[in-house]
Amino acid sequence: MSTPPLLLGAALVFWGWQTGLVFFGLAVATLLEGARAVTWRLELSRSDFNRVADLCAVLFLGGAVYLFATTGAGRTAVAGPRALTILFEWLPLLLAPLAACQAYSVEGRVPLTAFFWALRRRAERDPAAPAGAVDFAYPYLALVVLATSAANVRTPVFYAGLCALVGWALWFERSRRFRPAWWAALVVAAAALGWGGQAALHRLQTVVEERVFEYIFSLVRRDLDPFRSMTAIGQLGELKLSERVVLRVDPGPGVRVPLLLREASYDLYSSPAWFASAAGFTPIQPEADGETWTLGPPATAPRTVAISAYLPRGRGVLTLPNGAYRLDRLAAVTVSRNRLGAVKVDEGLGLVTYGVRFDPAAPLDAPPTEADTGVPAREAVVLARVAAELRLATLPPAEAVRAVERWFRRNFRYSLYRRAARRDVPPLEQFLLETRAGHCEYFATATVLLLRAAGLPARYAVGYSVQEWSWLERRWIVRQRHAHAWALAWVGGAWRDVDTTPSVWVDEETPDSLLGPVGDLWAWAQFLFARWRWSEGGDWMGPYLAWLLIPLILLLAWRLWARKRVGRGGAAVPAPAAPRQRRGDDSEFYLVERALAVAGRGRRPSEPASAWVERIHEDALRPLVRLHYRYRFDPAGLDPRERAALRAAAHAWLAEREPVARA
Amino acid sequence: MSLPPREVCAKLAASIETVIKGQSSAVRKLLAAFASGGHVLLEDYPGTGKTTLAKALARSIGATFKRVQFTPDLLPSDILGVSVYDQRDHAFHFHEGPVFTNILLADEINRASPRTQSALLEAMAEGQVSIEGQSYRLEELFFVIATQNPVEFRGTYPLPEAQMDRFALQFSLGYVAPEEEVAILSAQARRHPIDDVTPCVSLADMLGVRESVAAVRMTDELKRYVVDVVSATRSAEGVQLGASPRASLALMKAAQALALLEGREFVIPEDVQEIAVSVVAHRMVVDPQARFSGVTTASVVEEILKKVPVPV
Repeated sequence: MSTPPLLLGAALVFWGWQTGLVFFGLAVATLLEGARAVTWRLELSRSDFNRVADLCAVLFLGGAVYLFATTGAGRTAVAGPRALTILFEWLPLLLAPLAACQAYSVEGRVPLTAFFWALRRRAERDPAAPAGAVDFAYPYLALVVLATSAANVRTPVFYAGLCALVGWALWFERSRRFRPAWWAALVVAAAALGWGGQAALHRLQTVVEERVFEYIFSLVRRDLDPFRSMTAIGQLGELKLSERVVLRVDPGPGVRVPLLLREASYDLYSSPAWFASAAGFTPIQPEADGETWTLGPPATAPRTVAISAYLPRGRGVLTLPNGAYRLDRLAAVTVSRNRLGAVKVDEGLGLVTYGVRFDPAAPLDAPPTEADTGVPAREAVVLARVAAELRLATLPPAEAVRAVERWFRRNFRYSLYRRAARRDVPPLEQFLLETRAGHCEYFATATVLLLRAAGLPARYAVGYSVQEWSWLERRWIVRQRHAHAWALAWVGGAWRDVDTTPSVWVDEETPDSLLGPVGDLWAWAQFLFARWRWSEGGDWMGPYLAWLLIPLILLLAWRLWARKRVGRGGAAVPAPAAPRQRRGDDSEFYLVERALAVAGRGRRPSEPASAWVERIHEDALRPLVRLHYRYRFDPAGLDPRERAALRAAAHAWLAEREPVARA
Repeated sequence: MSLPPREVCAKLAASIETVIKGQSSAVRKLLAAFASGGHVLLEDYPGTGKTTLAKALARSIGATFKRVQFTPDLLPSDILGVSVYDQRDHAFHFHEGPVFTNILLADEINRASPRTQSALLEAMAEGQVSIEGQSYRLEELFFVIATQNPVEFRGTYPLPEAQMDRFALQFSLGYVAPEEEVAILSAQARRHPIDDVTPCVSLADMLGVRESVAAVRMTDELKRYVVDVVSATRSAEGVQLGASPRASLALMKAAQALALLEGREFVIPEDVQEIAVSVVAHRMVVDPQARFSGVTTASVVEEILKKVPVPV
């Protein structure tokens, strides 16, 4: 066998171990590796190999029939693929006769006729025709490894075994220029990369699936619906959350993080959705500069925050902190707002960055109406019971809010997963009395309804929670999974954010992904591109581009410099010997040759002049070639008259043909 | 007055071609070998005209011609000759074997045992034979044309490498085109055209040609090219045994002969390229693995010709 000693045997034992065919693995390994121990060889003819290959084919077909008959393929959906997988696992055994033939034959190779009927027919027609042969050892080794993978044990043992086999095979082919330690380090690095790669590939598939789903979903859903918010309350299974960066936030001085940024609020609940009643939008007029929009009276102690957000197709609902009263630098044509605090842009840019001035204590949203105190009949009983338990009705509003917050904090936990539950009990009741676990929509809805049950006007708000600092972008970023829901309570003549969701929710939702940093880098690049595209802050891009260009230029320079220096084999390149003065080197024929070469009809290095002239159909050059040959290869040389004739003929040809040759 | 060398060759070629039709390239190679003083091995299937070619050459020259049919029981003395005891004068008299001739046709040489094949070694290389401790000079013009059937055929002994090296050229005739075959049928309808071949050049003419070949000029650059081509066979992939310096010598002489056939007084690269496969390939041995995958010595030489830069 041409494989390194014992490699094939080891692979076969590994195959037997992983597929449960240990006995066969050991037997075939002994058979094949045993060929090294014996000195005799069989004189096998081409037809012998053909017969053995036919035997393998018969074994294969027999195995296929047996497996399809015994695994019940055709009767159940999974049996067919199962039979195929087992057949694949068996391949090393089924092809072992052919491998053994090669191992014990004189030639040490398998003729191609063993694999192809067409070649056999050709060989029959013309027995003297040369026949190709292949070394079957390495393909067989690859097949053994593949068949081992088909056992699909899915343990690190398989990967370790695979790496060991590959390392074994490569050890004999390694470059002797480097020390074995280098080689080993590289193999280990490659194995680690391979492991990481396959894990990342698996993750990539998940991410791609998610992104495709998101993309299709985004085509259907234009933007946030300020009139209705569907919740996932009552849905079973795990909520899927995306890592996509949706907002970038630069809080001004004195603004505390986590900061809640609201998109819209709703006042009517009908499980599982929240609705906004009487929430028609009224346009806002910009200030004289066209980019400043006033939503309410200015506050005495304003805070500021700058937010960058994508507006697909230039429209969408802005995310704003509670109590926002003025928007700065918002490039938009139409901006409108509703009484529940949602601010909508209808015509704007794809990416907007706007400053917000806000005062959490300012009562900017419309004061509570009757809708802000209503409790749906379905949940009324249980809410009344809980409210009575907590004695909310007896407490002042601010105390009641604190009591509710405390109650949730002490008795509830956060969960993105909901198990199957009874159908006859409303999901909210189950959340409050039984599971006591859920995501932010449960907490927000329960809080709003509980406060209302206690007589306190409350609303349901959706938006994002700002809490992730990006070291890459040097600012706060908000991902899709930071989407949040909370309650607004009317306390002391203003709407106050009441967030009862346990603060662990962000940690719960942080997936550990290898591709996360790559995705973030890509998202940042997209953001930078979008900023550039929407002509925001074009000037600051210059230094960044320069910093990007510098490593590129350095890399290019290094490549150019390195190419000249790196030589393979480590030996010094011998200096080219000084060209010897050859007889007839000054022949004008070379001018003709050069002219034709420029025209793309050059002579091949191993092609003599007359054959070349013949090939390019330049019959007129024949006399010139004859003279040139005499000048070059006849030691007697040319007399002065003939030398002049050669010169004249070449120049005449050049004068006549050069424009043609050039063309 | 002797004829100019080129004319000798042209007459010889024309005479042979009255018998061997459609094989001008083979005739050219045969003449190149003959003129350069080398011996020729024809390898082909039975019935392709090997023997006829040899006979046509012999009959076209006014030279002695002998033919030995090689068989497995042929002994060296059957070729070289034998001393026989004469009772009348109580002495051994040497009876010359068929090797004492100008042109020797060794027909189906690979049917004889290696021992008998080797009997020709000294004769071919040195122009003399040693029998019972005594050396005998062969004719000044001694030319061996050996024919053999492809080794795959039954009852053959492959020639030893040393013997192969003694042949300047090996080539095959191959099957002729259908039109030529029809012409052969028509020509032999009544009698074989070889019966009409008469000597058209003299032995002295042929010796003159050999002298002229030796006088054909060759630059050092082309000699270097010859050596490059031959030495490349020693390092080529899949080759167990490359060509010897004797191959370089034979290639140079054959190229000189070709130049003479063309009426040139100097060798050009084309001459070397034309004859290289016939001169070099049969001296090489391809290793069994390469042979198994279809590599032949001829294909190796052709590849080398395509790789070695030619002086122009």
